[in-house]
Amino acid sequence: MLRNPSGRRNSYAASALILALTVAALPPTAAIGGPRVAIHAKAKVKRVAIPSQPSARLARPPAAVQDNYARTLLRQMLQAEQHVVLQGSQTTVLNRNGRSVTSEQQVLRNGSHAFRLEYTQPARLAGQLIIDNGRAFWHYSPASKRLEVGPSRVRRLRDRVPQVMRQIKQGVLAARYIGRDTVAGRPCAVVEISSGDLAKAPSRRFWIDVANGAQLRIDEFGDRGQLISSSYYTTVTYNPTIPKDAFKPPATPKDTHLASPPMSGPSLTVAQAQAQAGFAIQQPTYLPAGFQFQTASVSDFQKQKLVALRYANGLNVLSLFETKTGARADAPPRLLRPRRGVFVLAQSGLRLILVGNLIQSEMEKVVISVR
Amino acid sequence: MNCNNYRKLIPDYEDGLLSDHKLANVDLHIRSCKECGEFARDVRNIATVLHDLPTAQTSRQFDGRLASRIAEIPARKRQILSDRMGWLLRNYAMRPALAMGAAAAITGGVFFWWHPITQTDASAAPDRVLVTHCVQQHRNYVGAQPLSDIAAQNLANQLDQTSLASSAVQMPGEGGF
Repeated sequence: MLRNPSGRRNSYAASALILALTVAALPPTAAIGGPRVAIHAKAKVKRVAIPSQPSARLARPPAAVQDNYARTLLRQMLQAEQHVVLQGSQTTVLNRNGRSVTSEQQVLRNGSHAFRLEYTQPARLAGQLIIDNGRAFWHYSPASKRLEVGPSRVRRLRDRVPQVMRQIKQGVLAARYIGRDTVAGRPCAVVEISSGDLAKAPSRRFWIDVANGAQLRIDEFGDRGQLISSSYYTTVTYNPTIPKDAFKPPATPKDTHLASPPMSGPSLTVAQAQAQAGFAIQQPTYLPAGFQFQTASVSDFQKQKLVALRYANGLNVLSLFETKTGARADAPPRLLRPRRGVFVLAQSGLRLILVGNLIQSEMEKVVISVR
Repeated sequence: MNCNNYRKLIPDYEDGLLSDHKLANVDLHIRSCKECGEFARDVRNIATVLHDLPTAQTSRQFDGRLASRIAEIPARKRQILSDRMGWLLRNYAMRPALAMGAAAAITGGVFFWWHPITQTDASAAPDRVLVTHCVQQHRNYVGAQPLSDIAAQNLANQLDQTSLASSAVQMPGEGGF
């Protein structure tokens, strides 16, 4: 049985106790909208329909609940993510263009040190394996005999937790306590977080296990309040016995094709990225409230240098990609919007691609401010 | 005369362009030589197929333009061209194919003059491929952020890869990454 390090056990247990007592002291709220799951932890739950809009039965935050409490819950969730070891069955629903796509996967997490995800449904994804051991990341697809290998994502995630916690504490992100619910048989507190007015900005809801702070469900909403995705555990077991080879690179046949996923390069400053790219990098002169420059990177795409500038507010990320074109530098700028969330601007001999999930007007302001 | 020499004469033999003496010789040979006989049948079949092709409708100015273009060639080159093209021009069955080929060449020349081919690099790469690459890189970056849904990000990437492979790119229409 895997145990928490002794030095952290007592403080972790104390935090969980405080969290549980605080939630218990709250006035009861109406039921949280969303799917009801089996109380029995091992019961296999069939797919349930995720409402396309937040449920009308959601309780209004009680007057006595302070935003500080919601921020406390989120900080405790981020802390718990570093330590909680869990295994469970997870369902993900993705809404796109009026259609829903559902996947089911087995998840094994060793805090923020390692992660394993194996798809079981749908059939075309079944057998796909994602493993991250804190040093490297593997994504193996047996159907296409393709293995992607890249730098660890949980390590990057772990490195960014302190920054996000500061942004939550500083109030850069708006946090709101919604109420209580049950996921995989576990009582949870529901917290909603957004970067601005809920009606205009993307937001997320987290279902946080009141016993240990583990995140058991996450819903992502778009700028119009539409439900974009939902991932929730249907069964969960804490502190399972982890097999020795659980986080080792997947065994693959000899004819497996090795590839690198589209990843940015190492973190750089803008000046360093400019030196590597070999052309003058342009930057936005307007950023939405709360957004800060996070990092720059340079990667290769079809023998050309592709610069990526990242701006984040702790919840949302804007990525500005830049690459040289053969167009004249004095050619008039052209702005295109292939689809929602993507803007393409051609100016000064560069092609600029802005990717993000903010409302269209904010995305436009950012992209046309690039100089 | 060996089979190679006879085979050079077979197209003219099929077109009835040989002298009586040569025609008799070739006729006698293809009746007695199995390979040359089959070759003669192939030539005959090809001519039949070409003859059955729909005749390309050229514009009224086509003949004039073609004649002008030929007139621009120096006289010596013109003679060479005429000799080499003689078989094709004399072959009635080849005229429709020749006209279609000439029309295609003129059309292609006009098209590429209007749309010059530029040097291939990332800037000339299809925007769809570049944009999809950027979106996936963005998702992979977001997936390494706290408060993000790794499973949803990966599922979205899977859908994009499937759409791109089927040449029906589905960008994140709902703004979710």
